[in-house]
Amino acid sequence: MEVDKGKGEAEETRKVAEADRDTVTLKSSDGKLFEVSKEAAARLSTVLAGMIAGGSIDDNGTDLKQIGSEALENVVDYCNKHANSIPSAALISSSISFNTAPFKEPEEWERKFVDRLSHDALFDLVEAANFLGMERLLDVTCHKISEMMKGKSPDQIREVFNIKNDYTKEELEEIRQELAWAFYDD
Amino acid sequence: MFRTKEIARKPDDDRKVGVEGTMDDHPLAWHGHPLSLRHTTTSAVKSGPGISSRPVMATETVHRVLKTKRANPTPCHVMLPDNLIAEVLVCLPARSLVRFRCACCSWNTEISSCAFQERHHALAASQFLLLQLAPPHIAYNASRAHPDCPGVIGSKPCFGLILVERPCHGALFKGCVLALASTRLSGSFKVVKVGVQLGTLEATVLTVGNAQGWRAPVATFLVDFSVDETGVRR
Repeated sequence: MEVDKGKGEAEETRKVAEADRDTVTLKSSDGKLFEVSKEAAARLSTVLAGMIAGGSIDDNGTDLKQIGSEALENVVDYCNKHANSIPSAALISSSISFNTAPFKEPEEWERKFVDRLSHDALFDLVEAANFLGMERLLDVTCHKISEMMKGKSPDQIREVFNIKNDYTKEELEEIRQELAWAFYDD
Repeated sequence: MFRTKEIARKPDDDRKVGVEGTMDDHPLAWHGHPLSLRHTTTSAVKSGPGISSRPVMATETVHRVLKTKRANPTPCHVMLPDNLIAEVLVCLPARSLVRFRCACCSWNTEISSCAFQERHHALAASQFLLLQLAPPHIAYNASRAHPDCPGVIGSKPCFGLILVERPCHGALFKGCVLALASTRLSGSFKVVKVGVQLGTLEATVLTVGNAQGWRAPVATFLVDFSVDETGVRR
């Protein structure tokens, strides 16, 4: 797409070519390359938007050392799907009446997108979304994890989140007595 | 109405048959996680309202994921940093949150913190439909012009509920407050009635369209009710 024309012009040509390109290339921590729509990347990720605006996007693959290839693949997949998705009428109307709402329900395709992920992939994706400043993806993934947590017992949650129970038996009994209502069925 | 359950645990085997193991107030399983398989036998089978109204999609995916996860029964290896844990926790309904205070001390500290609770309020409140400012034509003094017309108290919703005052002259309640709310999640409307009877505050909740009628939320005391009210997000 772009040709080297000697040192002097190269920089300028590169910038022009970069501005013309409609995709950006991202490189995962393990060196795999992914292409993503520039428009979607800039719209969905504050970090990538900053990099694109600041010209720090590398055509040979912008290094994202904190993100593994599986998570980055999901990020790119999400961006590309988001670029193609048409906002539903429900979302548009809800954005009018709920313009102060911090979170809008995931759309159908977003639900499907996170439903197919394993726990590890989901947790990795949360971290990647956080790192890239992708607020919507962070909301959707956190929402998904919280859906899975609902109705679980503290024991189950501890195992899944690798949490050590650091209460003494007495403390736990006390706190459970205090919060007994939360342990009843509706 | 809620069923009371055996809270006492056998000291030697509390992890398997303790009250935590029987807790399952939500039909969404932890998809395919081996833990959910292990706990199936101890989980109480629940037949309450709400199960049928849950999205079908979730149960469909359970079967698919169960198959794939059985081959690889390892639990999560990824540790989420604390700030992301908080992001997840803030999406949870109040009842689950309260339970997870038992998970570990740091979760308890986080969930109990003012900053977290304020965020949770804001998020939970955003799930209700009737949250905009009360229209001026049903302002407070409307009830004076028309004695039978309920008046909206205040110009803003209180913790996600619109407060409606309706003077009651019946034998049961002297002066009651009705609060209306609609959850976007279930699309159902809820009416909370708070009345003072013999000096104690009583609260009941009606889910419109639910044949069970008025039911007590978690308690009839002011303190416990306020805990539930602030986090109502069912």
